[in-house]
Amino acid sequence: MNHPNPFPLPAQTFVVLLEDAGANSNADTLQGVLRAQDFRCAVATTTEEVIELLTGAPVDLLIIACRDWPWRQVADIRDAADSYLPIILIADDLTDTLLDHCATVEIDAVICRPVNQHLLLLKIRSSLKLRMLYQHEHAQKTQLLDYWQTSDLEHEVAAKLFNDVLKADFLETEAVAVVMSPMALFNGDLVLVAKTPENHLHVLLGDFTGHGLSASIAATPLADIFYGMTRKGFDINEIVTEINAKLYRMLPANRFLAATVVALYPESSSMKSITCGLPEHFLVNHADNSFLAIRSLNIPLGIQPSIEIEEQLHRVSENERLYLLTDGIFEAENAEGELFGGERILNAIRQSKSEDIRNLQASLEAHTGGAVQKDDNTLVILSCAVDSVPWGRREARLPRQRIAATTWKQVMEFDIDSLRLINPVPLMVNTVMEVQGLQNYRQDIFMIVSELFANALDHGVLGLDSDLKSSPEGFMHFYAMKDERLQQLQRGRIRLSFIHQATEPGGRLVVKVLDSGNGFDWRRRNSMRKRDEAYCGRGIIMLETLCSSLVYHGCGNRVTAVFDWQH
Amino acid sequence: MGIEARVDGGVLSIKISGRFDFGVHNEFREATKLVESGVKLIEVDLNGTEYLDSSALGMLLVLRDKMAGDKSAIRIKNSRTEVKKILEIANFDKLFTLS
Repeated sequence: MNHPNPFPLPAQTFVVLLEDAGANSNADTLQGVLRAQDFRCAVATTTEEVIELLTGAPVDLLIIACRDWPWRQVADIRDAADSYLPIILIADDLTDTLLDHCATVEIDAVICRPVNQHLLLLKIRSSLKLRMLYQHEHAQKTQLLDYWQTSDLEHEVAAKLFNDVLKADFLETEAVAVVMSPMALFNGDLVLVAKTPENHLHVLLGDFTGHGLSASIAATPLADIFYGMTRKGFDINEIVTEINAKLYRMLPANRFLAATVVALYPESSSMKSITCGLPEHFLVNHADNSFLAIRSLNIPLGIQPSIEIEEQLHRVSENERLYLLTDGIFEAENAEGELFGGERILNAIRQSKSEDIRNLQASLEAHTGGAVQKDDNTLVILSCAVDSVPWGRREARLPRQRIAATTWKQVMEFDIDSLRLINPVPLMVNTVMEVQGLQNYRQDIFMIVSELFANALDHGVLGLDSDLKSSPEGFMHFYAMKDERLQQLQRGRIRLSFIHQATEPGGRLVVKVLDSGNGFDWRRRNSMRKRDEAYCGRGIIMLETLCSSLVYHGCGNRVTAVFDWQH
Repeated sequence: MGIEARVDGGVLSIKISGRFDFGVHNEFREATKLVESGVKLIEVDLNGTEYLDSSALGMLLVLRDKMAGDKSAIRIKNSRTEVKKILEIANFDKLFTLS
């Protein structure tokens, strides 16, 4: 209903005349005039009759022509009408008292006797127009209310759906604190947290362009990719690449996702961030109050079919906390239109480690004067307490369909050109899961294969010394060298063999890894270990804990790990 | 306030004054249609732009889409500090020519 209805024909218009009882030439004249114009017409002689007519059918207009008009009852008459009832009064004299009464009960028009027919028709027309406008407005209001109710209902359903999808796999951990304003999800903000089989913690903070439900519609497939790939042990570079490609295919040109994805690697006390279009994040060391601003290095996701990821690596300790915020907090305005900004955020969060959230909220409230915000504030705090690894709990062992242990063997070999491009560990482990259904042991098997593969690549094929990683500078240097050697090396290969067989209590998986590197003096390491536990890398200790046996062969470029599992 | 757009010798010039956000998307869409008249280069002048939000970034991306993703075909110039900062956070220098 964008335009008013056309003016109804007189034949469709019902007029009631209120006249004094008894023969009255005036009424006849008025009726005659109305009938001549084709109006449908009825005569009443009392207020009760008028009300009866009103309750019987919609009346479009009331003309009061009695000498002693019942002005006190006009309110009752109007109450009985279906919609707005315009009233024209025909009077003998326009006295002040009469006009006062007209004003009190809101009579629409008054005509003085003798009645000028043209004037009467003009007044009828404008009164009918008033009723029509009122009806039109009323219909629009009802329609709007309907829309509102429908949209509220849809929001409710959508909120439930989103919560179910996004929360189903969300890892609740003390390491990650999330503060989200109630409607932030519907303004396109989202937070996902999960861990890999190797106990790497993945966190994604995203902010879709636009507002309202359509902004967050792509959240579901995105969450599926994030949780699915993290569970399978893919690294965040691969996850970001996949999310970007998916969003590029899904979203129209003007829509994208500004996001940051972070991975925390407890075993190397390090963190990697991939920043795509969100305002800067702060890595605060609460021990010495120093901080690092982590800037966005990449374009938002979903714009280009593929992206060249620029990542950032950081050494972290238990003193560090990472603060990720969406632009809603940065852009919160005070009364003068001044933005809250990064400096105020930093001042608030650096005051105290334990009160960081409260201080930030208090400072934000003081700035905005408690004014209602656009309601799209999301804050994520990642505690980098790598040594206590608070998220590193084992997943509950789910009852699964038991698959009988079978005998099989799989060998795959990767040359340097494929090692440059892919990490085969998630693929290989998933194959083992498919064949033998060892979901309950996914984490253990993943850690074994991943550790063996990393050793073969870093120390075997690439010949990097793990001692390099012990200092912060060396740590960065290590990864820079790894990148460089991977690109430059012409030759190199890794062969992974999986051999599985049944045993009395369950099954045995033997993993053999061979690399083209020079190996290492494992005999010396064995004797060193007896004297100095701390000398060995954390990785090998972990392998020895998980495996029934771990044996190096030859010059140290071959290793055999045995993993036994039980029904 | 609003958007001024004109085509001159194969160059589409778009000037945005005031707030560059969802409020001007109809005007911007009209300006975007001018690309179809054989435009080789687009100059977006943000000298008068006081504010720019993510829906504005979306509008710029539509413009880029019309130019088949050619980075050198769209120049965004004269941004004020605050506006420039938002373009930098989004790393739009990788998608447009910023000057």
